[in-house]
Amino acid sequence: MQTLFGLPMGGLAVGLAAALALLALGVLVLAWRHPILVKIGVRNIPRRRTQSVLIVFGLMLSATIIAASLGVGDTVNYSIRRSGIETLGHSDEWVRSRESRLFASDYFPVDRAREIESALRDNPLVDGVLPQIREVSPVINPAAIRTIPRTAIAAIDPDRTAGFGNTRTSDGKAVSISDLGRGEVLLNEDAQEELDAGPGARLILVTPTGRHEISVRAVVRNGNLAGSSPRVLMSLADGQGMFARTDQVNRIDISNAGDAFAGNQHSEEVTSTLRLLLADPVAAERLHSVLGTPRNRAMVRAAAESEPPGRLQSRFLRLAETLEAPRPSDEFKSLLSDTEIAGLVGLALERDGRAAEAVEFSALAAQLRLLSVDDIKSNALQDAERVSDGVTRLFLVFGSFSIIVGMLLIFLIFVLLAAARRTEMGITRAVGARRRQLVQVFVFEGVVYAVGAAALGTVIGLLASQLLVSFIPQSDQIGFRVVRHFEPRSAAVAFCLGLVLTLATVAVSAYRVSRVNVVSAIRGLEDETSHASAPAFGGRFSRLVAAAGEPAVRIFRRSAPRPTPSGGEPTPVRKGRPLRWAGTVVSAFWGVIYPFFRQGWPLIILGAYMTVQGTASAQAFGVRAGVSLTIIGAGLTLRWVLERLNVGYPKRGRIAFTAAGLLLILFWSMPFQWLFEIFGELEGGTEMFVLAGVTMVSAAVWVVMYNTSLFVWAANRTLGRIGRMTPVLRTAIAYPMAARFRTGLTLAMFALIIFTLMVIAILTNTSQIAFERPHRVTGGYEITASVPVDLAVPDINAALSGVPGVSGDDFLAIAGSTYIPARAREPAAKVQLWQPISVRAVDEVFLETNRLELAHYDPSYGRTPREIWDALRSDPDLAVLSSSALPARFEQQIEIHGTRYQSSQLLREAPEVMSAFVVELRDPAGARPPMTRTVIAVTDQLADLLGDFPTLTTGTEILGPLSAKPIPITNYHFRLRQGLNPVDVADRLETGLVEHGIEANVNERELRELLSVNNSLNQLFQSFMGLGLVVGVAALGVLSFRAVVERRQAIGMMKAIGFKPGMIALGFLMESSVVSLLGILLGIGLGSLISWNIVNELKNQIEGLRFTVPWGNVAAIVSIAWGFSIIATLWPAWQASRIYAAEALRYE
Amino acid sequence: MDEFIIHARGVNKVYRSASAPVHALKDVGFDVKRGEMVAVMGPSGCGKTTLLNCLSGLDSVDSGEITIAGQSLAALSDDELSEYRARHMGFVFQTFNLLPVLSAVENVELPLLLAGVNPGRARRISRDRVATVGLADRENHLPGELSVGQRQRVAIARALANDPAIVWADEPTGNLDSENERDVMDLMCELNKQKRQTFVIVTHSDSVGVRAHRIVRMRDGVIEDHGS
Ligand SMILES: Nc1ncnc2c1ncn2[C@@H]1O[C@H](COP(=O)(O)OP(=O)(O)O)[C@@H](O)[C@H]1O
Ligand SMILES: [Mg+2]
Repeated sequence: MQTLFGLPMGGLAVGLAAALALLALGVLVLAWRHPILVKIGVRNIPRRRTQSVLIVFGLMLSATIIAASLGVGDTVNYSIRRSGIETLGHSDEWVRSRESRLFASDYFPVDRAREIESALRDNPLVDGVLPQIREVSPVINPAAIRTIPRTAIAAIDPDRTAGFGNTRTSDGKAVSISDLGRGEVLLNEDAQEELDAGPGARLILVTPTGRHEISVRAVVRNGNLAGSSPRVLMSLADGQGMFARTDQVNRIDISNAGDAFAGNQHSEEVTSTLRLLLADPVAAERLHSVLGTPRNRAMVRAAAESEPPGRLQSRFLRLAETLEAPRPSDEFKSLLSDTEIAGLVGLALERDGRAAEAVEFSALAAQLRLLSVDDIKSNALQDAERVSDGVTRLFLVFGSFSIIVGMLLIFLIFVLLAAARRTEMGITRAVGARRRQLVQVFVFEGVVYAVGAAALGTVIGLLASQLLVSFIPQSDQIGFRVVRHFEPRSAAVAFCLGLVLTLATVAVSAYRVSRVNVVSAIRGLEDETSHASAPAFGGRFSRLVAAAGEPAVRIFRRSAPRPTPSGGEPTPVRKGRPLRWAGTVVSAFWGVIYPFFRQGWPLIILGAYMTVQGTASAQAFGVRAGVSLTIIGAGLTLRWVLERLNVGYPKRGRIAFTAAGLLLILFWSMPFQWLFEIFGELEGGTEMFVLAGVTMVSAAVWVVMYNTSLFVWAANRTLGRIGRMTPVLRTAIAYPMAARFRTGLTLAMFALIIFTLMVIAILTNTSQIAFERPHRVTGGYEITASVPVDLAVPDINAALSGVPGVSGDDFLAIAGSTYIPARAREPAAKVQLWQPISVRAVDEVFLETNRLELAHYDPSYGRTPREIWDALRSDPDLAVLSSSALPARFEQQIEIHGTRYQSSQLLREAPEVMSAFVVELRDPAGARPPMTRTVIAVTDQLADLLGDFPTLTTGTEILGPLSAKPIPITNYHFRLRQGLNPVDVADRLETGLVEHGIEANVNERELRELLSVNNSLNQLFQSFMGLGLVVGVAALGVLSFRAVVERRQAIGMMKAIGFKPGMIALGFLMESSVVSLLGILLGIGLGSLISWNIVNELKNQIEGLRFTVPWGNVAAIVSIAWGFSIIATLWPAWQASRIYAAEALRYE
Repeated sequence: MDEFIIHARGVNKVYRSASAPVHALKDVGFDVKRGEMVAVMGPSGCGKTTLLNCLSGLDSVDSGEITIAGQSLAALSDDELSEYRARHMGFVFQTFNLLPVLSAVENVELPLLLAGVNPGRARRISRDRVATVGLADRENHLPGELSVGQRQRVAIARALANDPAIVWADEPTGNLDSENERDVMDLMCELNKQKRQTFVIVTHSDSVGVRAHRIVRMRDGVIEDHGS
């Protein structure tokens, strides 16, 4: 992976390392100044082995999660790159006819290749130019009765394969195209496997000119020219013969210098060289004179200047420069060959009110490119980057729950450490250590742990990632084969990031736990947290002034005569070194503002500010976080007010925070639509999920922990009557409820993890709807078949009559469609760039018979899907968009495509009634004038399940204006008579129509495969979340261990008064169950709440979606979480039961 | 013989955990009559706590025989001993040992619930006990919210909750000032008188000793004086 959250990984690693170095320096300086504190800290480590192991375990989690996320990303990235490289071999750029996107078979004279070759002969960046014919045709192996309807045929110039790597047979012998005789071919391994044809086999290749016999010379390994997926290699001459394309090719592959990977680095330069080479000088001349008029020069410059700064703008500006020259320069040609720049110029003309000229210009600009150049490898690698960045991001979002839980564990461990060392800390303080120095002791200790833990965590995380990727299903739906991989750089980033997070947590925890009341600590009394109010503002402020002014005072003192220290007079403690001075000032400053924070109103102000900002910039994060902060602030303020009103200590907190907590939960669980009604449409990504989880869980834990007495009371009421177990149960509830802080932390851990698991489970479960009503996905057709353009079926019904085993009345309907790449934009949109869209031209039968449903429609055209489709039939100017063409509030998918058309008219979730809008369409090259269609409806999101590129569906009338040549129907949708097995029919179609290279897919099978992929991914995420669950469980284990130590004497007493050993053990198990079950309950409740909200929101996209809790899955989650929490407590419980009363009672 | 509720003969106890074995009880014989209040006194480390733990069945002995109300302790399993303690014995410790997370009345009702008394009745009895030790108005306070003297009174209430035949008290006044000590002793003497319960009190306070019916003096694991 090259990027993380869009940041370059290299830079990230360097930045983090620098931050770490700085931290390390700070620690070293402190260590050097206080070696004694280091000694105390470090010597604490080997004192308790088990405890140390637990601490390392807790500290390692951040690094583990990050490393696991990055490791999965690396594997995905590497796998996609590899599959890209395998398919493309050494080809870095493709040169094709500029209409090649429309037709697989747009040929051009092979002389073009000669020209390019001679022009590039001395170019050090290019090491191969390979003219070839690429076709997709059926290949039959009559001997084995096997057929591949879509075999890639590569007819290659045998004399020009240098630079494209070797082709080797499976046993390692080099074999090249030039070795092939007439009619001889090479098969790659994939083709061999599917055709079951070895060397010497005689096959039949079907081309538009008829059947051709070919014989297999050898089977070659995938990769390089052999690519992947079934491919047949032959000589160019043979190909030209079989496809009747004498002296023609349809593709020229360019290989850049360097191997398959490294060549990519020259891509940009080679691409622009090629574009220049392929620019038509006559068209360039004309374009230059059109744009060279003073009016147009000024217009281009103005347009370029108004672009947002960036690479595009700087190139646009350079174009403006080239217009000043008298003749079209090379740069001019290469810049205008770029469709993006040409598009911007066309747009500028339109804005200038010259639409007709814009059309003319764009046709001319299309002519400039004799052939089009695609930096295909670069695109493939960028796709890999985008997908893996998305995957890692998703993992980190989910993983951040575990990271947070890990941090809570660190905190918890420190709380327990401090509890264990209270007396010791009290004594240290008593002999004169400051609180700051106690913090440092913990920090030194923590640093040692953290460094070891981060290293261990990174290793474990990377190992875990290699395990996790085995959940990635091996399926065509995924599109790549998983190859395990990780980058050393990821290890570095995970280590550094993990360590930084851990150290930060350690520092905060150390600060928090070092607060100790000297007297009570030494006497071993219960810690009574002091509620003494802070000194008045004046006092605090003057302390700050004194601290800040100290150096000045010192200078003054120094100049004054020094008093000679006499016998009993204490020497001044402060040494006044700058570092310490800064520390004192900061802490005095904190002292000034902290009491205000406790009063809450600064948080209200901050929250309100964030809310306003968030509303203004339409960012959900700002609004959500802002409102939440405001509520928290209000809670604090309420407590402060209650304090003023002399409400007692526990009571005022309880009232204030219960109110605030409930309000928070209410705020987060209200329907999203309300939020948008209040604050306007807001944008938010997956990070909102984390914010929601953390806030809701914290709020709920708040409410619970401030109302423990209620729980105890309720539990005693309901469970208090179970005989002799009553005392066990009572203590099992009373202990955790009394240790509010620890229990709260652990509850939060469990709740957070279960929350995530719950949301994943419920949202995955919604995909079941595709199964319940498959016609919404398939349109009600059992089989979808497609043929290559060149082998299109002129009359499907006639063709079917020749297919053995099927008869005309097997089919209730045979609908036809064709997909054409196009560009779209909306006249009403702000952004006027043309963006990729797929136009689906459908025939009458499709419009008449399809059963696709609609998410949105304009009621003035019809009130049911049927009426809408009929409207399209009667008016060819109408169209229906796919829902993937609408932006979504909840982008669930990983971004796979680059930029593409997105409607500006409505959101996928929009609840309001849609009204028709106009979309402009044109061919990708912009060679022909644009046309318009009126969108009157948007299909159901389920219709996108089997392909989610934005699609506009309209009648076949659009085919003419979109293309110069007639485009045939290439897809057939079959609705079968009842009782027929679609699998059999599909097989018969493939065999019977093999001349047409027909590929027939059974829709239900595809759907099932898709759902199984979904489920595997769900499992992948759930197991990943399992890491977090481990932390929660570990926390319970740690708590129980600590409890055994802390409660030794009490356990002795319990035994003395008659508790049996089994009851003691049971008590411990119940205690951890109380915490884990309560956490699980909170997680389930809150997770269901937010999922319910999300599902309600998704209902606007997918009609009929229901909120259902997958109880089986939930039961599994509960039993695993609870089961592990019991397992973690077994050992301490056993230990507790074995405590010997006579011994335990003796010692404190 | 039947008049002795506690009857021990030839009890030996050796601690082997330390580097050198410690012979804490050497061939001790010890009898207590039903309803008697006995004080065990002696210098620190002489084996008083050990004696108490062994007699009450909290600790095992190396040899010798201990019978409580005619029941030989050696014949009971660990669980049976627990049960036996829950029904027939009460304990008061120097450090009170109340469960900090339970209120006074809840602490007191623990032994009752353990003995299988139904919760409603247990609550009534324990409130009654808490009232007996004079803390009726504090019954719902947590131990942390009580003074040390009050805590020890709660501990005594707990020890008496299930009307035990014997109450074992190991330095019950060790953590108390003299005023609280007097209060606690008044309470125990009165309960002893009222309910005819047997009290074995380990102490090194003379003022506690003098209030017992009999003072047993120990030195180096041996009972020197059985008192009269
Ligand atoms: N677990 C033990 N291991 C070794 N020696 C012990 C142990 N418990 C008590 N002792 C020793 O046994 C002797 C009697 O102790 P104890 O009964 O507590 O005395 P007392 O209660 O009279 O102060 C002491 O010498 C003490 O050190
Ligand atoms: Mg003792």
